Amino acid sequence: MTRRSTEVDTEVDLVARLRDGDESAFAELVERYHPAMVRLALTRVRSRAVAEEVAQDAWLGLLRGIDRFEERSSLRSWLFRIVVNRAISTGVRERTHLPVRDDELEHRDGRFSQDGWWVTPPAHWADEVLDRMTAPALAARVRQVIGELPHQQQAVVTLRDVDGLTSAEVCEILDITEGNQRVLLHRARTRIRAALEQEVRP
Amino acid sequence: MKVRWPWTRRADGHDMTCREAVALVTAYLDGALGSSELDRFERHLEECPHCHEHLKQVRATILVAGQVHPDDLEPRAREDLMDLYRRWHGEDESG
Repeated sequence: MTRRSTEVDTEVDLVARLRDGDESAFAELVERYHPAMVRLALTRVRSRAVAEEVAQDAWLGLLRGIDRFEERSSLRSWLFRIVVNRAISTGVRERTHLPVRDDELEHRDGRFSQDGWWVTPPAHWADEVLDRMTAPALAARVRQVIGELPHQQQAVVTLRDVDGLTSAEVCEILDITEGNQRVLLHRARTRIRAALEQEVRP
Repeated sequence: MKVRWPWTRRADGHDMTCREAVALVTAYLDGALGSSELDRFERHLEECPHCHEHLKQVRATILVAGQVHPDDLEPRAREDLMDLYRRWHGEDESG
């Protein structure tokens, strides 16, 4: 809670400085948000170069709109919404996703009997993953599987788990309901968990 | 109606199954379960080592996802954006 309110205080301060034409406020915001904005754009556009353009375009949108910005939402949510809208309208990428059927998910994650109990209980590997958390192979596998998710799942899991935003912020940015957000997050995590399992228990 | 329960103490129809518990993990981690559901979920987790491990795996998955990107801004992107800022301000003041 303290962290959150400090973050909001700093944002209010940054907005004020930005309106005064303080260049260092812009630099600070770029430092904070640009990498996440590029990641978010990449859920909608194919190439990194285009994602950088989309994010740049959003920064320009921020500069143009800062005087009209009302502190009803956080600056981050506002900025990230611009990224989503620009990325969608850029529409460059129609990435073809590997179709993931839900029954396949259920099967991978579940292996449940008709009565709803585990048929093949999960092998124990959580501790092993926690021990190897920074291993490049794990990170690479997770990056890859996130990149293969349908774009809405990809956007939700990137914002929530990679960048650490709250569910309320994510709903605002992507303009989805909390229930929808949770379903998308659940499916994305299920896929990533299954990929990690394959990685540590091949 | 014939229902086969693997453990007799689960004969109480209100107990949560593993499938239900797994489906609720995301809501649980978001603190979005209602009190009675939360209670049933936690009771299930206490009794079921498999779902307990599954929850640990989901938590580990989230932590690994938080590690996958170094959050450093590339110098080139920083330069481009500062150029953008200065150009915009130049136009803003001259126009």
